[in-house]
Amino acid sequence: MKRKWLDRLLGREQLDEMKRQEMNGIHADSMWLAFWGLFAVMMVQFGMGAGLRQYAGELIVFMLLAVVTVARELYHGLWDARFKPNLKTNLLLALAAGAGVAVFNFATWRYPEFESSRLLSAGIAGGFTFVLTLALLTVCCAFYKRRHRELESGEPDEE
Amino acid sequence: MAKNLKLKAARAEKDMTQAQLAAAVEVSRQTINAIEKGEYNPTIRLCRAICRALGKTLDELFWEECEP
Repeated sequence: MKRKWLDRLLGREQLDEMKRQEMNGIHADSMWLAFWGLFAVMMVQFGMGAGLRQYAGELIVFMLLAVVTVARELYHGLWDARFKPNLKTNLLLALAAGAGVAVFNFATWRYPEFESSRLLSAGIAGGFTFVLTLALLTVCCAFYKRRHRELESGEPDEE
Repeated sequence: MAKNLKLKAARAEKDMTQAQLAAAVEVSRQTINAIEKGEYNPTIRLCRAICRALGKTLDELFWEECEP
């Protein structure tokens, strides 16, 4: 993608196309390292009993990365490189998210005086995560399909 | 991806080094080397620039006959 405003600000790009591709690959790897690194850091902090205030900064950056990435992908009519945008895949992903949250909730239970509620709490957290993830994936999927149709039908070839 | 021997031969025909061809088309020597070794698939824009620098057509340098 040409960024003319950046060329005007910082001067002409010095990399050729292959080197640019290599650099983009490195940047993409670094972005995913930052994304999952933040996720892991937050999980560790939460697991060690930290309150929301203690990892709010990480959470804000993590959510910004997630929202900006998804919004830009949807705008460009992109879903995923491997997963198909259908109900079956969304159900499986939502189930995985729900199971992950349930296990995490169970493993990091902080109220020994209410040990009997541990399993119930994990089930409720997992269930809600499953429903919310499925709803979010369904909405994003609908946006993706609409945008994909728009992009595919626009600017037909000249006869 | 197969090695691009046609490109290598055309460059040798013009008595150009990889560095000279790279300078002529404004890319790095590594990029020319990667194209010749079949490790990088150049854009059509770069293919055209290479063809112009070597006085060849796209077919002569980049077309591959389908194997039967």
